[in-house]
Amino acid sequence: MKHLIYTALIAAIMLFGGCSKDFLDTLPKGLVIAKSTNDFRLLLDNADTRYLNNLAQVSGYVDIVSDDSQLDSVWYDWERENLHARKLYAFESEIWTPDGPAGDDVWKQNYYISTLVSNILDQIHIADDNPSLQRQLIAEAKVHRAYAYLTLVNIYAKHYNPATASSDPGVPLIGNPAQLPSLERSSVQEIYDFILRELLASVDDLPDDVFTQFSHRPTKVSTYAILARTYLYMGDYEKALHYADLSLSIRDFLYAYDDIYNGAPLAENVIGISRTTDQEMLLFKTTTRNAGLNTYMKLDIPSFNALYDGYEIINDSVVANYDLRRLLWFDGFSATGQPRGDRVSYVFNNGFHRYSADGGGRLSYISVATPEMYLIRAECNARLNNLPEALNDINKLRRHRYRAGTYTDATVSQIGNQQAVLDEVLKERRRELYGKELRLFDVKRLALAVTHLEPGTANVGYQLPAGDPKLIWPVHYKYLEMNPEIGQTNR
Amino acid sequence: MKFVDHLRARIAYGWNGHIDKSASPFISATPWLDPITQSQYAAVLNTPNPALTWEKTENLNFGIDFSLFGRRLEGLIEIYAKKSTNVLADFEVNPTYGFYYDEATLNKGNIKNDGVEIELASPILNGIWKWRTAFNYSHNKNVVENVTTNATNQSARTNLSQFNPVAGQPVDYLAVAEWAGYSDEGLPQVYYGDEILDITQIPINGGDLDLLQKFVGQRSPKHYGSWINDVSYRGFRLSARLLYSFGHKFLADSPPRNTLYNYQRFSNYFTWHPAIMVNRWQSPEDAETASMYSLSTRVANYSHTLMNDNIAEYNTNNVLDAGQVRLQSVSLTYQLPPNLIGFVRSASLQLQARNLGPIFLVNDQGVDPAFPKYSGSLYSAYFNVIRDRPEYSLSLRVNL
Repeated sequence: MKHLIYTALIAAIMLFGGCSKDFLDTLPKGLVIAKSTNDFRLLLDNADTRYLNNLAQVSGYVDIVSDDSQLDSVWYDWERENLHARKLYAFESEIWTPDGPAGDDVWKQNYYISTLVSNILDQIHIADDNPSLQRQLIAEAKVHRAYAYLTLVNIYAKHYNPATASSDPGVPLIGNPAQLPSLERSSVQEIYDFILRELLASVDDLPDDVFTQFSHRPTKVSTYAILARTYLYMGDYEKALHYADLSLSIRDFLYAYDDIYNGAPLAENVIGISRTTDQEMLLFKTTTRNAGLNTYMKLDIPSFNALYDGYEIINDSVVANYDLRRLLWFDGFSATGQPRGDRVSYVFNNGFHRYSADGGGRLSYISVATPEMYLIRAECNARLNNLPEALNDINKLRRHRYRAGTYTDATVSQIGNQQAVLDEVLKERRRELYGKELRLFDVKRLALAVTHLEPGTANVGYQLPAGDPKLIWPVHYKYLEMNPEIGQTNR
Repeated sequence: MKFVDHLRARIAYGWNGHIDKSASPFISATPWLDPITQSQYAAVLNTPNPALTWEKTENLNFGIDFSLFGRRLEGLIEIYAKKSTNVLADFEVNPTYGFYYDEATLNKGNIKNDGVEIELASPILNGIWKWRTAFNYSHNKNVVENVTTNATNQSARTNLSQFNPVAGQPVDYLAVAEWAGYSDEGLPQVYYGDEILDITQIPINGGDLDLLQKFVGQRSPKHYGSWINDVSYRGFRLSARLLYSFGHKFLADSPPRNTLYNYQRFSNYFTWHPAIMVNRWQSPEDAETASMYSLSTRVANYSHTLMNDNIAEYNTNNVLDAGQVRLQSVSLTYQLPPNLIGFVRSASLQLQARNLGPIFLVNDQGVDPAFPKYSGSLYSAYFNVIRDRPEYSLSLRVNL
C-alpha cells in the first residue's frame, strides 16, 4: 500500500513538474524588453479592456451629441466623471469645467495609441528576426494609429469639406512625442492625407481575414473597411465603393437575427458571444472604460418607433415586432412586445448582453463590422445612381434583421427616384449603425439639425441647427492650459 | 605659530554626471494575460527617450581642517558651490503626448546650491571632570534657474509644487495667497494683485498665479546643525544632544476639507482637533478671531470648494516660522567599576530620555513644526499620537 502511494506521488510530481515547465515557457516573468518580433507582437496585442491604456478604447459619449440620444432622468445624477456628457447633451458652450472630469478620456486614449504606435515604429527596426512578421506588425501599428486619428479628427474638428479642408484646423498630429513638440493643429486635409497614406502603405502587409487572427489585430478586411469609411467621409464615393467592395469580398457575413432570436422579447435573452467568436466583427474597438452605451444611447418611444418602423400594433397590449433589432438591441419591452416606459435603451453591444461571454464591465463594443460595409456600398451606389445595387445591399441587410418571412424586398420602382433610394439607404444606415459612436459624424456630414428632449420628458429641451460648431467637441481646458497653441474651437 | 598643531587647506573642483536610471534603449513592458483571448500581451512600461542627456553637476569645494592649542580645538570648515545643469526631474506633461502617467522625466532647468559646513569639537575639561563639546553648523541655499512653466491652477504651486519648480525660487519653495480676512458671508478672502477677492471670485483656471500667490520661503531649513555635550565624572556620564534649524517655514493647521461643499453632509464631517471648528466664523464680529470660515455659507460649485480648501491651508495667515531648537536626547550613564563582581567584566546602567520636544520656537503660537496638527488628516492624528511623545528608557548593560 505504502509503495503504491509513493508511486502515485512520484507520478503526480512528474506530471505537475512537466506542466509547470510548459507554464513557465509561456508566461514570461518580470519584464518584456522589446527586441524581437515576438516581443512587439505582445505589445500590439494589448486590447485588454480591464485597464485604461490599450489599443481598443477609442470613443465615449460621442453620440450623446447626436439625435440618437434622448436621455431619461438618469441625467440628473450625472456629476463629476460624466458632467461633460450632460453639458454635451445640453449643447452648452463650456464642456470641460473643474467640477467635471479631470481629463478627456477620448482624447487621451487616442493620443495614447498614437504615442504607443510612434514608440513601436521607432524601435521595431531592431526586431529583424522575422521580416514578414515585422512588416505585418508595422502595418498593424499604422492602422491602429490611423484609426485613432480618424476618430480624433471627426470628434474635434469640422467635417471634411474638400473646399476648406486644407485651412480647417484638425487635431495635433504628433510624430515624435519624446521631444514634446509644439501642439499646433494640422489641417483636416493633412490629417486625412496622413490617414490614407498610412492605411494604403499598410494594407498589403496584412493577412486577409480576421478569422485567422484575433479581432483586435488589423487585417486587410478591416483596413479596407477603414479606407471605405475614410473615403465616404471625404465624399469620394467611387473609392469608398471600391474599398467597401474589397472588404466585403473577403468577409460579408451577417447574422440572421431570426436564428439568434429565442422568442423571448427581452434583450437579456440574447445569446452571449465573444470578441473571439463574433463573425461580423472586423476590428475590435470599444468605448472608453466608463462610457457604457446603455447609459446614453436611449430613445423616446415616438422617435424609436419612427426610426425602427418594422412593427405592427396588434391590439392595445400586443405589438408584433418584425424588425428584430427592436427587441434584441433595446431594453425596455414587455413580454407582449410593447415598450414599457417612455424610453428604450440600447444594450446590444455591452458586456451584460450580447457580449456577456466577455464578462461585465461598463464599456461597450463599437467594433468595425460587416454591416457598415453593406451600408457604405449601398450609399455609394445610390449616390452614383446604381439604384438596384444599392437596394440589393439594403434588402440583404434587412432580411437578416427581420423575422423570417416578414420582410418583402424593396424595389426601385416602388421607392421612386434616386433621392428616395438614397434616403432609404441613409435611414437604414442610421438604424443599423445605432450605438456605434458613428451617428454624430453622419449628423455633421449630412448637415442635419439635432433636437434633444428635456431628459425624461417629451418636451423639446435643446436644439442645434445644422452645421452648428457645437457639434464639434472642445479640447479639455487643462490640455489648452499646458499647450495653448492647440487652440480652442469657437462654440 | 605655536598654537597651531595642524592646518590643512584644500580646494577641489570637479564635475560629475548622472543619467536617468530607468532609461533604457529598449521599450520595456509588463507581461499580462488577456482574459478573453487567453493569450499573452504586454503593456508598455517605459519607452526610450533619446532626447534625455546627462544631468551635469559642477562642484567647487574649499575646505580647511585644523587643530589648535594643543588639540584643544579641532574642526573643519567647508565651503561649496554646486551647479547642476539639465536637471533630470519628473514633470507633468500634456496628456496629448500620450505618456502612460501624464508625466515625463525630462532634462529641464538648473539648480544652484551654495553652502557652508562647519564642525568644531573641543575637550574643554580633561581631568577627573571631563567635558567634551561638539558643534556643527550647515548652511545651504539652493535656487532653481532657467525653468518656465505656464501653470494657472492654484494647486500647481501648492499641493503639486514638487512638479512645478519656479525660476528664482528654492526647490522646495512655499507659495501662499495673501490673507485679506473674511467676507461678510464668512468666506476667506485673499489679495489677487491689488483686489480683494473671496474664494468664489478667484479665477479657477486661466488665472495669474503671480497675482494670487506669493513666495514666502522654503520648507527645508537654511541653517541647521547640532550641539553635543558630554560631561563625565568618574563612572558617571551625562550627555545631551541639541538640534537646531532656522530659516524655513511651515503651514499650521487648516480646517478639514470639503466642509464648504453644499452636498457634504454635516454628519460626514470629522476632525481630530475640534477647536478649529468650534471657533469658526459665525458673525462679522468674529472676523479677527475666527479659526476658520463660516459653515453656514456653503457653495454648490465643487471647484470653489477645492479653491477654499487650498486657500484655507495656503495663506499668509497660516504660515509660521519653523525655526526651532530641540532637545533630542539626554542620557545619564553610570559605569560600574570593573571586576566588581567576579564573572562580570564590566557593567553600565543608563537612563535615557529621547524626543523631548522643542525648547525654543521662533513662532509665538507655540506650534511645533515637527508635529503640526492637521484637523482633518487621519495620518496626522496617527502621527501626533504615536510620534509626538518623549521616550524614556532605562537600560542595564552587562559584559561577561
